[in-house]
Parts: sequence; C-alpha cells; structure tokens
Amino acid sequence: MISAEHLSFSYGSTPVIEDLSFTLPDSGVFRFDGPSGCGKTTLLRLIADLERPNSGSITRQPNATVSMVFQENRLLPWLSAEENVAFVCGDSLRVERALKAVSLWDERHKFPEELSGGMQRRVAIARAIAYGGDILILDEPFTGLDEQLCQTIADTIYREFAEKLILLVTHSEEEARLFSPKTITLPCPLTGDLT
Amino acid sequence: MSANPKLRRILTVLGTACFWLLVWYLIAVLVNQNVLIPTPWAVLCTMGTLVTKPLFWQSVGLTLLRVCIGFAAALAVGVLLAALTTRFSLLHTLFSPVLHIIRAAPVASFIIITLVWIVYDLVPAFISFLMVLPIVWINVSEGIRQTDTQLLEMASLFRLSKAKQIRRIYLPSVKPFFLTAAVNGLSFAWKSAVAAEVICRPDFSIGRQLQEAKLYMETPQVFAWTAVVVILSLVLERVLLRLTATARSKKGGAVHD
Repeated sequence: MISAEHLSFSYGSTPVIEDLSFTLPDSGVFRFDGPSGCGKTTLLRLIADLERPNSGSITRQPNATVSMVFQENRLLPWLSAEENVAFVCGDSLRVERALKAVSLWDERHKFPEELSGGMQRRVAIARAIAYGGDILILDEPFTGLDEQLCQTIADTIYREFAEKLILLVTHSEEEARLFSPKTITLPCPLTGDLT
Repeated sequence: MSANPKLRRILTVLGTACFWLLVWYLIAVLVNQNVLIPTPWAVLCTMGTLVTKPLFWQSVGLTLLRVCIGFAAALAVGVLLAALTTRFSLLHTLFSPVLHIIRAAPVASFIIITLVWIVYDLVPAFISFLMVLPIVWINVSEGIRQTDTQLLEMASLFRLSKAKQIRRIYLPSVKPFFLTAAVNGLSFAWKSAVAAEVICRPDFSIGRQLQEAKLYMETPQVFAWTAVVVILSLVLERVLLRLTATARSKKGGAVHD
C-alpha cells in the first residue's frame, strides 16, 4: 500500500503539491488524470522516491521495488537495445522475453541511435518490464507507438504485473483504455484528500 | 576529374613542407652564416651524424621515458582529483587555487622551484606531470559534471550499484573528455619536459644535448635536436590519435553483468 499524508512539494518557490493525502492499494491499475501542468509527473516522482517532499510523508511497503517508464526514454547511447534492458536485469531470459514482448528481439544488437523514436520507446518499456518490481509507473508510455503494438505491449504489462500496482499518466484516452484503469482525477492545484 | 582525396592530402602536406623548406633555405642562403641559421641540408646532415651515435638513442630514450612517466602520472592523478573534487565540494574549494596557480605561473618558475626540492633527474618528469595535470583535471571534471543526470536517476530508480553506475554511465560519459585531455596534454608533456631538461641538464636527455649544442655554438645541432623533438612529438601524437580514435569508436561492453 502507498500512503501519502499531508504531502507538500515545490520547485523552488513554486508550490506544486500542497497538503495532499491519498492511499493506494498493493495491486490494481490507476490512472492519474488532470490538466497539463497540475503536477501528475511530480506526483509519480514522489511515489518513485525520486523527489523528497518538503513536508508530509509518503510511505510504501518496506523493500517495495519500483519500475518506471519515464516520459523520456533514458537509454544509454553506448549500449545496444539488449544491453540497455540487461543493464537493469541480470536474468537473460527475462531480457529476451521483454524484448520479444515489444517486438524488438530482431533489433536487439542495434544501438539507440540506430533505432527509430518508437523503437527506442519500446526498449524503455522492455527495460521496465524486464526489471519487474512491485510498482510499475508509466508516464506517457506509448508516445509514438502504433495502436496494434500498444495493445500487445499493454497485454504483456498486464500479465507481468498482474498482482502488482500500476500507476499510469497519459493524455491519450485510447492509451488509457488499453489498461482499463481506475481513474483518479487530480484537482489543480494538487491539494486535499483524494481518498 | 577529382583526384583521390588521400593522395591530394599527401600532396598538400608535401607541397606545404617543400614551401617552408624553400623559405628556410632562401633565408639561410641570404644570411649566409651557419651559426645563425643553417640550411635544411646542413641540419639533415647533422641529424644523419647524430643518429649513428649511441648518445642520441640514449638521450631520446630517456627523454621519452621521462615524458611518458610524467604524462601517465598526470592522467592517473588528474582523473582521481577530478573524481574527488566533483564529489566533495570542500576538496574543490581547496584544490581550485592550486589549479589556477599551476595554469598561471610560468613553467620556468616551476622548474627552478622543483630543482631546489627534488633530484634534478626527476624534475623533467615532474614538470611534465605538473603541466598536464590541470588539463586532465579540468576536462575530466567537465565530463563528470556533464554526465546525464536523467541516466543517473534512472539507474538509481532501478537500484543499480554505485560501481555499476560508474562503469556503465560515468566512464562512457567521461571517456571523450579524457581522450581530448590526453591528446592535448601530450604536446604539453613534451614541451615542458624538454624545457625542464634544458635547465636541469640531466644525463642522457634531449634538453641537455640542446643546451650543450647552444653552448658550443653548434647551431645545426640545435636545429637537429629541435627537429627530433618535433618529429617525436608528431609521431607520439599520431599514435595517441590512432589509439583514441579506436577507443572513441568502441561502444559498451558485456551484455549481462
């Protein structure tokens, strides 16, 4: 379970989140929805422990691991597609399965600069799938991918993270539909008790 | 019709060299004093004589050794200092003035000061080290600072060890900066080591031979030894450029670690 209590966060002197509280269960698919710039990505970063709140607290299950598809691909340019996935996962079978799930097994030896934008996105998704974890955070995961492939990848994610917690941020309704998430509509500014 | 680019480059280099040799020759003929400016031919003949003597090879070998020791030490210490000063701001504050002093003070001052402190034989290698150190330090520090923070953040999210982050993210990011520092630093290593040898005059050194040739007014020898320094510097630079080109083209390592 993720529990946030009286969470506040600001970038410099600009407050983004003020006195926000919510709880999330250990499993299920949740989509954070809200207008652009209301702090959805910041909220995901706080959940992923990539940012520290200015006040309040956010607690996760002890030792819970987080996997994430960032808004940017964040691939190592000097590693091939396969090496990028293997970078976070030592299990070669999982690496192979993840790359096959995103239809990139045949391109596994190519470096990011040799892959199209969509292919690079798929490597980033494969990396998150291969890593596994208790919580999967997807920040605009399918940008630049075709619908058919999105469905296949979403099915894999569903299967791999069946009993886990998936948190999704997307502006695309089609993309959201692939996951049939429970939508949490965020107020702008981000404040109050969401539960 | 366009000529082979490689052939054209060779012809351009040869043409330029011939032009300047001709200029040199004409000046030497006009001045007509071997002690002021010898002809290219006289210098070539002197070089021909020098290479037949064991002293030449001993001097070249030991100067090369001093340069290599100073250069290698500067690479190692420069990388270490860059890693420490980018990690700990206190160390950066402490070491920054040292860096500025090394860069601003004339090399001759350092040679004379270190001559007071350490055995004269070791001064050229030390001076070489001292002159290359800031180049490596600054470049590698810049490489560390420019390492993509998004990649580091990704690595920390996926709970990758610090050792793996260093091996897979920091080292490849810093590599181009390190190679640039190495190529730029090599010529500094040469020039400063020979300058130190001229002042310290250690046995078997190019600097000593240069100084002695000057003392005995053997100007063709001064020119010949200078030419040797230039040729060796160019050869070493070419070798290093070739090595760095190979290193630059290499991508990442093993698939699973």
